[in-house]
Amino acid sequence: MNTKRYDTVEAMVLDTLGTDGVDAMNQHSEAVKFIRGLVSFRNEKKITQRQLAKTMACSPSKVCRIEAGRDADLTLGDIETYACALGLSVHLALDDESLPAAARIKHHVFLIKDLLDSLAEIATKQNDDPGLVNKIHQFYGEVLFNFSMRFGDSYHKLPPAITVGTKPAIATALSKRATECLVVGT
Amino acid sequence: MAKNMTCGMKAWTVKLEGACQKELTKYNQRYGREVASVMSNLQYLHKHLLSGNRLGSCNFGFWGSERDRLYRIGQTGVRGAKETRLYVFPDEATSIIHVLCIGDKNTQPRDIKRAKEMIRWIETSPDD
Repeated sequence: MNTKRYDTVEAMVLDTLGTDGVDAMNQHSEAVKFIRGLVSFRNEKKITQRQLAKTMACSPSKVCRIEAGRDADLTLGDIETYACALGLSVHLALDDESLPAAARIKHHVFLIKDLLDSLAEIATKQNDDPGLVNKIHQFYGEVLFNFSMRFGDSYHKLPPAITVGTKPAIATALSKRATECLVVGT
Repeated sequence: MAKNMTCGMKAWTVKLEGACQKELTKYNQRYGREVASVMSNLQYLHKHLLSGNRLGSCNFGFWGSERDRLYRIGQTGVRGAKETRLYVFPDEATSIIHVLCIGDKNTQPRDIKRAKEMIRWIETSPDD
């Protein structure tokens, strides 16, 4: 009997069916990626298909059909109903990949700002709950710290700017901001 | 025995048993989309187990028990598919997913019988 053991399924498929087999397998995985994400959420919450069907007010076979389908066949309604039944909210983000990176970054920054504003609104409305307000404060500090660190990481990958005299303003601002965030985040 | 990685994760490996390699190649010639799907599902299962999840937590639509530690992996996301089943024996003692045979709905009773005989053979064979 064949006793060959493989560390990955990909290695096994490569050995058995060649690169065509691996490509076909990976293409399939891409085609069902989103559905698998939904199923992962369901499994993390330890909810069976039957239980989810009950919450969705549909038959278990409908849940089966959704999970056995392809991402391209999903309707927005299916996604919303499935996600809501798991206690998840759905946010749709449209990203125009034809735009330059700078425009897309600005778009995402504005989106983040909107979300932070809505969090601040929650804190204002829940002013009588100091625990929640403090948690939101803490979260703001973490976001600021993490964003500055990631921005700094990315910035340091840039080739050196040509400067005459003093350091570029942004480098000074980054070190200052990182220090501020370390204080806020703790 | 498989090594225990950090955080209780096991190093699950995959093993093709018997004439499964030839069967897969032959089946793939006729039903390539279905084979791609079951292999993708097998890969998903493997990664799920590699992440430290127990077999009992496998709650996927493509996954089903055929009793006596035999499981089937079905195809998903293939329109107009030939109903395909890949039979596997995931041995928690050794952390090996034994891939036993592949077939369709018509050959199911014969495939299950054959697969269970292979499990008995695997369990009585010396470790390699």
